[in-house]
Amino acid sequence: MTLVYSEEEIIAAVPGLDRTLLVRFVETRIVIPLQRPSPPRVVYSQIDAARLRLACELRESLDVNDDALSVILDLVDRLHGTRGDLRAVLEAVETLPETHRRAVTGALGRRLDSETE
Amino acid sequence: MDPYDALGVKKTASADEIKKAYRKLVKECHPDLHPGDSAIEEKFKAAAAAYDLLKDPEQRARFDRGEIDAQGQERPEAQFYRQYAGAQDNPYRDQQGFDDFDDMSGVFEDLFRQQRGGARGAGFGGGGFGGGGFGDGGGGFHADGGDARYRLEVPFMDAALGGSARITLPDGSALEVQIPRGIADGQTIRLRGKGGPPIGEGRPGDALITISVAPHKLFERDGDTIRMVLPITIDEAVLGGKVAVPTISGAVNLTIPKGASSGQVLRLRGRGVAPRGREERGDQLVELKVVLPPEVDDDLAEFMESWKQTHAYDPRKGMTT
Repeated sequence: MTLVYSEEEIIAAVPGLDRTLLVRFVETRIVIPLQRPSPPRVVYSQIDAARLRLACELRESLDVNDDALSVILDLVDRLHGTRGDLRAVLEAVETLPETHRRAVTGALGRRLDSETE
Repeated sequence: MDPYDALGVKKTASADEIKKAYRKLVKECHPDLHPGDSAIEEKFKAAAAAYDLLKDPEQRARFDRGEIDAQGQERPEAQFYRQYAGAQDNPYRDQQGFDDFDDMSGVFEDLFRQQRGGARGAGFGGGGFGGGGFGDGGGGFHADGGDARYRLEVPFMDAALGGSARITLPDGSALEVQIPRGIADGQTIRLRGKGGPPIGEGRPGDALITISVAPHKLFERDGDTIRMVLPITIDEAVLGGKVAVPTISGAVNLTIPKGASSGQVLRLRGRGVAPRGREERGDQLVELKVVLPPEVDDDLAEFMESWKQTHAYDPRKGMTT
């Protein structure tokens, strides 16, 4: 079972987060709470806590405003997403037979080489 | 570590200099902004702890007077976003498109899109920033409304069999959402025209609702397969027999073979989930678990006692390590 936080709990768990800030982050979709039916309520998960922590750190330490924060987090998501996909590709390559694997790494090596030239 | 060293500032540094030094370190070392570089993590942690201590003039003065040490200022084990961000089920990452992969064979694009879990047929799109199509017909300024994202938990049975749910919009009003049969955890439902308002004659954006399937007390789902653990009695295990088994569409009879063991898996064909756009349902896999009576009475104990004298067997044969 994944750990979930209520609104109060997430405010307590993330340094620098208060209710006003949380409401704003939800409005700007920096964080998207999970809506639960019966009884209707919203909860936050661990990924939301980590994301809010990053958002608060960026805001406090770099004076980033909400718009810039959205852009940064969007790029961070893209970066991590792309890295995740890359890892999936590499793991898939790992499972191939030796000859195929060599062919893939060879072709990849030549491409990466030519791009750095 | 000395907090001044961690930030690379002199003991006489002004509050401003400390903040500046910390900012520089955030830019260079924040682990979430530098995935894949593990060496910087420790550096950032030390800097963050040091900054927490030194940013407060009172705390800093107490530290300088030796009243408190740098310990105790450790942050609780930080949960960096990168620990979650790259995961396939990160609900924030399906905002990226692969439209620029068009020059490739299309295989990868399709693959990634599918893995991203768009509810096929319900429509799925990227565009985290929302559609910004500018039309100039009529001379005014027109733009499509942005997409509005939501996350919604649905009961296990509704996800398996279909149903309906409501989401609350930012303005407090509710929106009815049809849950298509067979929707899986992480898939997204697109409600056309239910997103942000357009400007001028643009089209309204869409509502994108990422589904999270609530766990069930009996069933687990793996694609269109349903798994469950079925407790059986020792007599059912020894003699076999028919028992009623719950499925997502009511109880069905299952034949327990004679001599069944815990861990044995039986298949109920066509009792799983029907994926979107297909009529045939997956299977339900039933794992047997032999459960002894709440109390082992004398009859049972005596019988086992005499039985084992002549029927000893060793299920652990060959379990050498």
